Amino acid sequence: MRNRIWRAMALTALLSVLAFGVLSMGVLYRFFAARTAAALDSDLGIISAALEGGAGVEALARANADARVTLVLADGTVLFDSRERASDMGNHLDRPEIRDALETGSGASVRRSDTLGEQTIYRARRLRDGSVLRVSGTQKSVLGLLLQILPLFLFLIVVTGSLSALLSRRTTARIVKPLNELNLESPLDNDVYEELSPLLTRMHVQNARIQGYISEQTAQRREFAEITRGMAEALVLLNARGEVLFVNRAAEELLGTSREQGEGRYLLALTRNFQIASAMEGALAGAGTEKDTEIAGRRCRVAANPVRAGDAVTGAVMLIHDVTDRFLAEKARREFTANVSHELKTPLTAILGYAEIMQNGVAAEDMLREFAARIHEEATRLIGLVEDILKLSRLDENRLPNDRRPVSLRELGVQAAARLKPEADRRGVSIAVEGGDCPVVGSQSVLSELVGNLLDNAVKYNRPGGRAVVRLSEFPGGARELVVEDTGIGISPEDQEHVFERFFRADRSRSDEGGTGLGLSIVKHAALAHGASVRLESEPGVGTRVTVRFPAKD
Amino acid sequence: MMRSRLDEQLDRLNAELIDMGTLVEHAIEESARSLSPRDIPRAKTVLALDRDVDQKERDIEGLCLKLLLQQQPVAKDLRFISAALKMITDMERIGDQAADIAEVVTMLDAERAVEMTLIPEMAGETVKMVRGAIDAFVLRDLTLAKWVIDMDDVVDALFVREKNALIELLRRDRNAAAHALDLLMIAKYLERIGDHAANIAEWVAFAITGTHKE
Repeated sequence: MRNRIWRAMALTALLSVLAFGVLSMGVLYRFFAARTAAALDSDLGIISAALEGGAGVEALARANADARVTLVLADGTVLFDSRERASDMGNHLDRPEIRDALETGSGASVRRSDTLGEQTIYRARRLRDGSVLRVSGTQKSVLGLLLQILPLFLFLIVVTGSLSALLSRRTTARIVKPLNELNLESPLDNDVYEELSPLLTRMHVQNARIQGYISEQTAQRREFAEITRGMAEALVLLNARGEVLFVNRAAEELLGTSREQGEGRYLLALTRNFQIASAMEGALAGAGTEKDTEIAGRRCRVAANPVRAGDAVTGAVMLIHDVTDRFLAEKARREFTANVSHELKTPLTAILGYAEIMQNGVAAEDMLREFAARIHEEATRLIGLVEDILKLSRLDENRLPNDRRPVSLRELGVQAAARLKPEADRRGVSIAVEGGDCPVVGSQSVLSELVGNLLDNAVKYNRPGGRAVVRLSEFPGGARELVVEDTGIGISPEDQEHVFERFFRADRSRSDEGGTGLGLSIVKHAALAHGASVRLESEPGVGTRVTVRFPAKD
Repeated sequence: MMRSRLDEQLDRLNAELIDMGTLVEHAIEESARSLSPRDIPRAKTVLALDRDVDQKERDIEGLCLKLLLQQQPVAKDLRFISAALKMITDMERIGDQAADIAEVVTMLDAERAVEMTLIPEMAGETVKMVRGAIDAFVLRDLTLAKWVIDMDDVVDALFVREKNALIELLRRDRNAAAHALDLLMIAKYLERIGDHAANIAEWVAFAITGTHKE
């Protein structure tokens, strides 16, 4: 810009200098020419008068040294010349001024002389004796004048050029400085020259519009962050280059970053989980992708989908959700199904075996009765198993029988003791029920099952001469505690944490005790259904104590 | 501020390198996991990964050369690109050797596959080195890069111990020769992977500081 201003200024200066030069030269030339001609005319008048008065031409010429004086006879022969020898000069009849003077009495002409930039002005007059007197003088032509002025001219051009350069630099600085110092935040507050005010007004409008967009965007982002804050799933938005545009709070935790730090970074710079990487790659290539992976010990499902604008993929949305619980539940269900099938198959195989022997008729008459008894026994076990499974699945689905009412735990203990008396007698185990009435509100059938299962275990896994005790305690405030204690074989520490699992038997070799492996599992679920907690303490060879604690009903 | 084309391409190069690092890290992790307990299907997935790693190396190489020719970068950018060119070679080798280990895993003597001596420990340390090298690159972390370079001695020492353990195994059981050779190959591959991880860490240090360890 500075160059352009300089050029404009320099050009103006140059043009004005040139124009002035040309015009003044024209005027000067005319002035000088007129003066020279006037001087010649007066010389001519004086010399001719003097000649006609009888003066010598040589003396006259000497007196007028500036001008050249020539005397030509009527036939054109040069009689005298003040600069050259007359005899060397040719006939002058062909000179226009001489010819004119001979014809009309006076003549004038201008001829370019041999010297560059000069011209000669001639004036001639016919004298009374018929000869012609000519006076001539040289004068600078236009070119001559120009050559004389040229150095001055060049000097002027240089001076104006550099002056305009200096001035243009100053002017540019004066124009630009306020522009550079503009306060762009509030353009109208600037104190600058008035030519800028349309620009500043437009800036102001534009600023307001941009501010509007920004605050709208920020509000939308904040709103979006708020909405997604509560999501359990991690949400990640990516642009087409795989850089993070947004992460919600769950994703911040998962990726170990904050929104401010994470945004704008390449996703894989935050996590190099291979499945996340391939889900991202798939989505950015335009295909919805789902992958399972493990992140920090949790099983996660990564789902990524492309975001499209027209045909082009402009980004991806990635959802990562924790499926650990579902995964474990599915695993438990698979194991349960496998266990149930196995447990059902064992008695059925036995029944099938006996039935085949009986069918073939190879068994003796007295054996048939025993086989029938075995079949009966296995079938009973099968029914028990199926019943237990049904009870468990009902408890699983929280479907308590609709018989909630105050139940005396002591009464349930006494009933169970009576039911198990024959079995206990056979094993030489004594049963005792101690403590108060201990009423709790609940389902009698389920609680009865709970007490019965615990006491059943205490009797079965006991030693001859051992004791099984049901102890009941009431606490102030309404909490109740049921303890079933035995002096039996106990459970090893490593098995203790598994005893409440379905189909777990601490001692596989004792499965002939007739248990289904579901008893303690039912106890646990029955207790949970009543809001009670179960605690098991056991020492191998010493005995086991199971404590069921019913919390106070607010 | 407009991002220049050079910045944009450097960002892409960075992302591509992280991609390749992710691939390579996954390959060696899966390889190590397929060792004990022996997991042939897992080992076979590693063999497939190696092709992706090779493809990535060619892509990145092309990108680097394009950057060098078209943008004529200087100073830090030039250093980054030349370090990238060196790093991909090391990463590609790690990918190859992870695949080599996987291949040996598929051929291990099934009856002896439980006897792995120090291999799982070595594999664990090597995986840590590779992960550390890639992390050092992603985070431009000089301390981490130096840690990886120092770790190389640990893996080298483990290799020597493994070799002695295998000699001991052969002394005890002459029939274990084939198995011992397989294990020795795996140990050597792991040791080489450790070297490559240390190389990557050195190039990371070069990209950051401008000086490369002799």
